[in-house]
Amino acid sequence: MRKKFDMFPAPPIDAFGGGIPDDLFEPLPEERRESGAINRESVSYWGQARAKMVSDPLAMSGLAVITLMILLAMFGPVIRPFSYDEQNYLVINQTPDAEHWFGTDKFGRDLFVRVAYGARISLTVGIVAAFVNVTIGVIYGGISGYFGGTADMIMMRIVDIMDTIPTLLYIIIVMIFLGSNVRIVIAALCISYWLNTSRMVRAQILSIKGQDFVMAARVAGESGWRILTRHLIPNSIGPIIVMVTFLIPQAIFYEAFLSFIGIGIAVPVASWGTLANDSLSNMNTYPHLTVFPLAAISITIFAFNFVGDGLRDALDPRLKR
Amino acid sequence: MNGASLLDIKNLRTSFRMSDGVVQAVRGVSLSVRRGEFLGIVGESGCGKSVTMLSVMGLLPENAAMKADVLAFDGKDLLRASPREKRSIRGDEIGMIFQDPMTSLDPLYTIGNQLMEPLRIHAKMSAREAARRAAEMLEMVGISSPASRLKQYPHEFSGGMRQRVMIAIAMSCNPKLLIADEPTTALDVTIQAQILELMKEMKEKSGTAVALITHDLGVIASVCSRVAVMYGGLIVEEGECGAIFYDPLHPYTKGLLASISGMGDGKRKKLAPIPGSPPDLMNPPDGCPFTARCAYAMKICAAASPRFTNIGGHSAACWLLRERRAA
Amino acid sequence: MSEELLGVRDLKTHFAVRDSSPWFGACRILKAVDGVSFGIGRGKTFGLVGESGCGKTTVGRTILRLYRPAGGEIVFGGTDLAALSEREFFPYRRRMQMIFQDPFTSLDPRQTVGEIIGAPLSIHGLAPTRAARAERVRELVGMVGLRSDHIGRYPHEFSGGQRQRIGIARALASMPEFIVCDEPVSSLDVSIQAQIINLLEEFQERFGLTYLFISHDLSVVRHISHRVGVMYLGVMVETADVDELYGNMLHPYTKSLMSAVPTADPEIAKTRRRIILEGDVPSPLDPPSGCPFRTRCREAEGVCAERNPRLTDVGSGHMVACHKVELQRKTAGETRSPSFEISK
Repeated sequence: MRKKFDMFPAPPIDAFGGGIPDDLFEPLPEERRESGAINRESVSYWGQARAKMVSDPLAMSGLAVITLMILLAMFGPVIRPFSYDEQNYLVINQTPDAEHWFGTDKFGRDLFVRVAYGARISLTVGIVAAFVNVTIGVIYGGISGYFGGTADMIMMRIVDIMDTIPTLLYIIIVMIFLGSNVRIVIAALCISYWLNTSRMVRAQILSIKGQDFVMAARVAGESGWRILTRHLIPNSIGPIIVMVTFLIPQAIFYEAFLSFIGIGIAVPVASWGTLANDSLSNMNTYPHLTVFPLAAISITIFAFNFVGDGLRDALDPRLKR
Repeated sequence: MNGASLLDIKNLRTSFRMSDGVVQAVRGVSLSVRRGEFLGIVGESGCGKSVTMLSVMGLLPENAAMKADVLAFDGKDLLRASPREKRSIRGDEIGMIFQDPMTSLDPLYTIGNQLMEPLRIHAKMSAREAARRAAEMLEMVGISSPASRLKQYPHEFSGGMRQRVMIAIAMSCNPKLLIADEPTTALDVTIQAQILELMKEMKEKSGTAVALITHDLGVIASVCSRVAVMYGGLIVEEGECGAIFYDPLHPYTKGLLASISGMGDGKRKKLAPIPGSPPDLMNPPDGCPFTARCAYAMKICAAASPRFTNIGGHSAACWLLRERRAA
Repeated sequence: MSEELLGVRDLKTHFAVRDSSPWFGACRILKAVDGVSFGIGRGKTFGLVGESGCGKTTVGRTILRLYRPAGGEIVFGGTDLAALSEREFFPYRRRMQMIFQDPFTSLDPRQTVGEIIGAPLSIHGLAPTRAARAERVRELVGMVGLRSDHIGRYPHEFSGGQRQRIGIARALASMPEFIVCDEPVSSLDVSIQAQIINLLEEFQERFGLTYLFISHDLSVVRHISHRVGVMYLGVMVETADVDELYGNMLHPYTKSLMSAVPTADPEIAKTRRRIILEGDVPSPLDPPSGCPFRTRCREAEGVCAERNPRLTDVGSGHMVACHKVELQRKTAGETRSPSFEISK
């Protein structure tokens, strides 16, 4: 949000008109002269980023939603007296009420608990897959960018070749051969997901490597390791964090999509995609069964995207004053 | 108002909104460019010299706001002009060249395309006429075999050549005013000499007024007839080129000249720099912007802005002069 | 002449330039520096001037082993640095430092001033304890005219001139003998340039520093240098002591370069005759045969396209690489070509 500023503050008024007191023509005392002091408060990069982030309402609400989702995933299944696979044929297809907050499905399972349980799966898949991918991508792209030359050439051509097969195809092949549970979904997501990450990290490292302060570090006698850990990584960490926050919702989306088309997490385990798929047959009669899991998916993805946008602005490498 | 003046600026103020405050880049500049003169606007980075001219041209970025008491070009009120009128003035009557000849030409179009466009739009020439005129212009700015050069793309031209093309584009509609923003800063000295020579020649041939923005006093001395010195978002001194160089009135101008005069005379004596750094225009000082760095600063300087004192067509804003006149 | 601290003999730095395609692009050799020789006496300043792309920056960086030399010798205090391995070179990193052109990119934005200036101290083990290091950083910061409350601040909080002072403090931290100053004032405002030059001269006097001062600004070079070399397209075309060079320039390129410099004096600017060079510097990927300057030289003749002129001494250490000058000297004995004054 933009703060209101006075664009044209009034210049100090020349209040003296004709008669200026003589003593004002005495020399200015030394302490009023330029001293080189910086009057602004010192802010580090992270301090500045935090301040920017806090002042961004979209990002902060996104962060709040994510926190709520995590709390839901952790405590949702505990606070209600139902389990995700407990069937009760006395209460099938109920609309939301005080007993079943989100209603029940066709087997009488409590939808709130199932959505909360789905949050566990979706968030786990999203966060773990994003971190595994970033780790691989940072190491691979970092090595490629840092060493450059022939190593870089070969490593990037491998990435190019791997990238000719669509991500979804990799995932489907893996899941068909290895079956489907949370771990395999994550593993499948990791096969080709890091390719773009590594490209971006490489580009980032290359551009920082060309800057004068890295040359200054070499002149000072800093070792390759020290340059990597003290200069290259700290300077590229901002964009990498931003990338992670954008990768998480993507992974969540992939998982939901796979479960939805029926090759992801298998029933009776409830992921948001499975829930949405389950409810399809009765969507016309019992729309709440579709609405709650879909809302969970889109709210979460929105929240991560807002946080990502906020972080991108806050961690912008071009430090504006 | 001066009858011979082409561009009149009175009390121009331009501010930029930043994430943590407002930068008052121009804080009340009054300046006029006379017909056919070669005016130099000199100052250090961040003094507001480029922003002044961008405000005149209406080329400010989105986060900027400007206001002025008077902003008139050739009798036309730029403050009240519609965007359409402004556009037509911009292309037709005011030409502009920028510092970076590498980015101010569009890489996707041939030199000929870019030269002919303003001719077709503003001068409403036919394609054939425009092509002939474009070739003429290229020849005039010293580019040989213009016919084949017109078909080439910007990347096939060197930096100096591109700046020549920029001048050709800016001059093609015979503008009344050419604004040149640091046109030689990105170029080597031998190329800079070529471009300055060319600008001088073009000005003499066409009678166009030129406003040259630069930080380089050497460039000012070699081409300009009148000079305005800017500091901290204000004009601090204005006068004929000779007067500025041989009889500077403002302590800032004096300091600037002193800090370069020691260089290049072959004596390894200590230079006389101006201490400190320019003021932060997010929190501009009350009074004269130069106070904190001025060796002659008085209490009044920190308290109130000095008005201009005119001494034989040469004026400066400094409290010292008020005293001098009173004495 | 005083004892020579650095001697560069026939230095060559070549880069492999690949054409567009990463698979099939042909590799071409860019001879950025192609046989440059000069020497710098201890405690003196050697000014290296030339236009962008002439290779002057590459010379400085090759001396500091940021690029590997393709040939020649870099003799520093009696040792040929060009022959050393990276490990053997490490001790020289303490003794040779660099000041960069752009104070906005040469300081790591994520480090505080204290960390930036303190880095060389810990790398070379110059401050045994944390307290000693902090003390030395404080001393360095004071030396370059900054305040000790600046130590915890980040580079973006400073003005260009102040940042350049931080860069100088970093270069001085390891108590070097030799500093490559790569355009240290070019990106600063005029009023700040003089501050920095004074500072550099003060430290030269105080610590007996030797500078290689690389710049395109001929008046700054004239002020600070004892000896000056002029480069064009990867070769040294003229080198002499500063007064000799500025008073009696012989190479046609030097003459036109000097005359192109605008003088901050309107009267002189009006009257003086400028030699305006035509055309542009040829691409170093495709340099002309013979003398590299011949494509822009008014005096060029047949011989200039055939043979490369050698840098020869024309007396009192004034070296020129030009066929015409050589020819004139042969025919006219010791008669000198008319001198050319550039400033009052």
